[in-house]
Amino acid sequence: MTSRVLASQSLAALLLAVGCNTTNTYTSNGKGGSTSVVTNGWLEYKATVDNVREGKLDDGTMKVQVDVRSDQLNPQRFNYLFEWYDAQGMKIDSATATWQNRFIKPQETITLSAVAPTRTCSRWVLKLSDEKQPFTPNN
Amino acid sequence: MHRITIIVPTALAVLAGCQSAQYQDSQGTTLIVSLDKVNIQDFASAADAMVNSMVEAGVLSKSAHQPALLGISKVENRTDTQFDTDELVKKIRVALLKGGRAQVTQQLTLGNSKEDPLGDQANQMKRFQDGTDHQPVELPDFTLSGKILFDRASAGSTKQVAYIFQMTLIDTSNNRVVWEDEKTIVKQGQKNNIGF
Repeated sequence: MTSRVLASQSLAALLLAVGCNTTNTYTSNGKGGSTSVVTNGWLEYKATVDNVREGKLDDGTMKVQVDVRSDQLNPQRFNYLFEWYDAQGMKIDSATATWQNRFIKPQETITLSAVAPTRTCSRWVLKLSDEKQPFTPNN
Repeated sequence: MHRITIIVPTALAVLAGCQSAQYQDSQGTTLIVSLDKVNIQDFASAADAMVNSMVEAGVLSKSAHQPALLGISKVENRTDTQFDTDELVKKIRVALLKGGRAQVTQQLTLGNSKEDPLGDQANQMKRFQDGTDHQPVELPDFTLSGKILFDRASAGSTKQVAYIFQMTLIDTSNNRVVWEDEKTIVKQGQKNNIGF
């Protein structure tokens, strides 16, 4: 009996280590909104995308603002990254692109914004990931 | 039972994570967060904020020359740790250059130190051969300067460090500040950490 308990505990611990910290992805739909692929329900509760606003700067560079709301009753943190693509669907790398960490208060709505790295960008992808809950290398 | 005594310590060892060195994504979330230095993700984050702000301001896109010609002025490290400010400036330059928003001149550099002396020498020789060496050199439309400041505080065993990145763009036609911004990165904790 003891061995069964130990085995199940080990399995649970290993499953935790393997991790469920998957990424939620929001992709521009070309109509000023987004389509979402939510694979992490816990993350969705603390970082729900509510509104999307797209615009263009005077020189034609695309700009996006995304409102993210927390349904949680405690302060939370999450990570986000914007990726950009041109009209052919090619990813445009940015020299300054990096995952950013954001703090969000209970029931708060914050705005994430980004400017396209080049004028040729016509589509964006917003990736949200949880703050190492649990820790998964290369997430 | 004997099998369990092997599995459990193994599982715990995996969880404890006696990790050997491995490569990490330089843009990822598993980088080390330090309380005693500016990390690479801090430079990237500051550069990203600066480039976004500069592009949004639209100053470079309104320049008579397209892409605008940029001169790199003094960017001071006023923190208590030593690093090359190019960790910030180069990212900004690369982003502006790749985005087709600006080009950097080395005709006029701070202290006349040329980033690429051979390139400068070749340019001088070409100008001499073309008979254009007496014509005025192309001066930058804008100059970029900045400072990196820091502030430390602690409460009990919790330490806090703030790195303040300040950048300024001067329009050389009238010597006016046409854009500037500040990005503050604050890190708090008791010790350095792996991951955000």
